[in-house]
Amino acid sequence: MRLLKNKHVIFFLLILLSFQIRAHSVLKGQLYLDSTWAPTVYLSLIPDLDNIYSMSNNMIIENAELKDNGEFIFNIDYLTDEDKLYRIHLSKKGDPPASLIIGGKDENHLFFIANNQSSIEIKNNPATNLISDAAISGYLPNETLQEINRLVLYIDTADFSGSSIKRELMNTALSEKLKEIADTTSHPIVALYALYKSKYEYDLEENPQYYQRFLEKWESNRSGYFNEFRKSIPNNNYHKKHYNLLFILLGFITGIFLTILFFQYKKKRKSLLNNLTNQERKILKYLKNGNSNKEISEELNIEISTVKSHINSIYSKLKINSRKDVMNMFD
Amino acid sequence: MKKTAKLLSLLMLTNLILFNCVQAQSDFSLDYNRSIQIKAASEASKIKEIKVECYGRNKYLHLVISSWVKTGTLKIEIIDPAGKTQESFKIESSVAGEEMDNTTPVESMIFDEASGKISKTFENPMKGIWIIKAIPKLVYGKIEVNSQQTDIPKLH
Repeated sequence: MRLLKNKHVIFFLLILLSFQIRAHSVLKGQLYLDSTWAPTVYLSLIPDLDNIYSMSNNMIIENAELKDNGEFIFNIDYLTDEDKLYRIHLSKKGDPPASLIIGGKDENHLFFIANNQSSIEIKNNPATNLISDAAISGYLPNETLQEINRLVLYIDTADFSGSSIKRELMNTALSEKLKEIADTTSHPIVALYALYKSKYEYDLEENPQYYQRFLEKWESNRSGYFNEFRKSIPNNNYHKKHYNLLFILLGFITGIFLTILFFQYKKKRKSLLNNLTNQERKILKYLKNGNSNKEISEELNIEISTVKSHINSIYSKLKINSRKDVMNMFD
Repeated sequence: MKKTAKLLSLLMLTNLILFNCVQAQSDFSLDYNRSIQIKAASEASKIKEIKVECYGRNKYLHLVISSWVKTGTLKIEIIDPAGKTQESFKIESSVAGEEMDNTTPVESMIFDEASGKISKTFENPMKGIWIIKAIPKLVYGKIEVNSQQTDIPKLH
């Protein structure tokens, strides 16, 4: 009884604990910004990575006030169980809420991965007042996401002292590094993010096998992110294509084999027919037409017993047992 | 002696000319600004291309493209002379813009505004025609393109 009571207590505590865990699902932070920004932080869901740089009011799922000290908080326990890509952004005073600024010191957004269990904190550097250099902590996949952003920004803003070859080499190195991240990370959205940031569209033509292999690795992932990516990879079912080719080849070979068999059978039948006497051949013709023994005897003016004897001889020579076999033979 | 003086003055003159030339070259900056307003229904879904000629004389090409839509969807692409899309973004109003016909007065239309801006610097930009491609779909809005070819790494 006591044990049962204890079980109930444990169960109750577990439920409480789960509520406690869920209560910690927050996105909070502190952004030090100048007075040109409107004091509202917007949270948007990025449905697929093709729309990473899309902006509309329909994408915004919630907004929070940016306090005087730069703090903001979102309760995100309503997010989905599975990880998704989100964006927070702010708008300049006078700009509409659905406002996207890419590049420069006014870049107004940050991407991060979260789910309904996440507890994420975003803080920028008070010395720079930039949104884009804010650090995201609290959920491990975001660290790799930031690493990707840092790599891209470094190459984008680095001064290569007028050397276009050096820049080209660095761009190639960046692309390879991002592909390496995509290969090694265990997080599907991070992997895709790395590929999108590498501008994979231009590598796709030269190296389609890499992307086909990548999709094979994530074959079981049926999220919207991967479904959209799959559409952009041509012949991603190249293995299936190979199988199809194999099936066509097998069909062709089987066809040839069956044709040979058919001709051999025909040849054999012809040779068997050659064994029949003239009378037997006539009777076979009647049998083929479905005539009865009596009809055959009347047609050929012979006794029924003779007909029967000829039929038995035909059966024996053609290695068949019945009239049905005769019909089948000529079908 | 006279010859030496002549030679020296000639050298000095040459140096002066060369120095001025170099300075003039480093100060060379080419600005190009263009603004497009889409107000008419006939223009609402017509693709627009703004061409920026890059002469390759400067180290940097700065491009700032700002756009606003009150209806419809607008996609902006920056395409380099090799035809490669360097950057792109899309802004979308929740008002689809179907009501944008010539019979509807602008004042009576319901708007939902979205804006997008991209600020991008290209180091050693490819010589040739850079294209800013605007792909509108039932858009009532505005596009502004500011470009600057200069040797200064930051935009003026």
